[in-house]
Amino acid sequence: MSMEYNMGYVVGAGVGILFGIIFIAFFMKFTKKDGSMKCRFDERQNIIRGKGYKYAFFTLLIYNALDILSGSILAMYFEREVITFFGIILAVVVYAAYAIWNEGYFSLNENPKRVMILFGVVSVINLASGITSIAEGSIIEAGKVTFRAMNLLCGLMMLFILGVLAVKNISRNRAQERQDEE
Amino acid sequence: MKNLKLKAARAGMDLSQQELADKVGVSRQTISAIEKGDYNPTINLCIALCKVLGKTLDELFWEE
Repeated sequence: MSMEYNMGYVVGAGVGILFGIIFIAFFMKFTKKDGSMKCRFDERQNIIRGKGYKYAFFTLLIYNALDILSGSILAMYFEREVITFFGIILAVVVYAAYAIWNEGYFSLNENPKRVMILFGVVSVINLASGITSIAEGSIIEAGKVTFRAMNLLCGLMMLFILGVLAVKNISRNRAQERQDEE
Repeated sequence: MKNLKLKAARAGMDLSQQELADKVGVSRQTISAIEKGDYNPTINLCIALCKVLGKTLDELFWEE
């Protein structure tokens, strides 16, 4: 790696991390009803979240174990970054789906609509970047899926989470109607 | 097992699940889960519910 390239990489990574921190700070503030940065969960939600983390942990464990036991067959078709990132995506999806379905995803002081709007924006940005990579033909190089697929994976993950939120919303409304009738 | 006593006490005070949830600092879904018998609250939450609804622990949570 040349000195010039190395500096460019460090500056790029630095700007990316800084942008990430600013976005997370904005996300934390924008999605709260009380303007606080901290999420407040009740005791039942904490139990649900704990179980969600447990299932996500085992998902990642099993995924990594299968990757190792398979003699890294995946490495023949995917770059290492994509394989690792896909494991993280799987774990996040398991946690989010479990927590959403059991009403432990949104904190007491969170505005679900605002969270969904930001998820939608993040999803669209990542999907657009992923589709651009596909159009440019940079997503597969030398027969391997490259790290450029990570945006697409991230976009699909957010889309899936939004889908679970939408289905749960419908299911919750129906349950509420049934409860009101009783 | 459904907690009909809690539901009746709440209805008796003309409180919605959301209003009761706000008063004790939990989500509406948690109140719903307790009433449906899907969640057993901690003693701290039971006491908070009793205080808001003006009932004793026996009146709300003792099974006969």
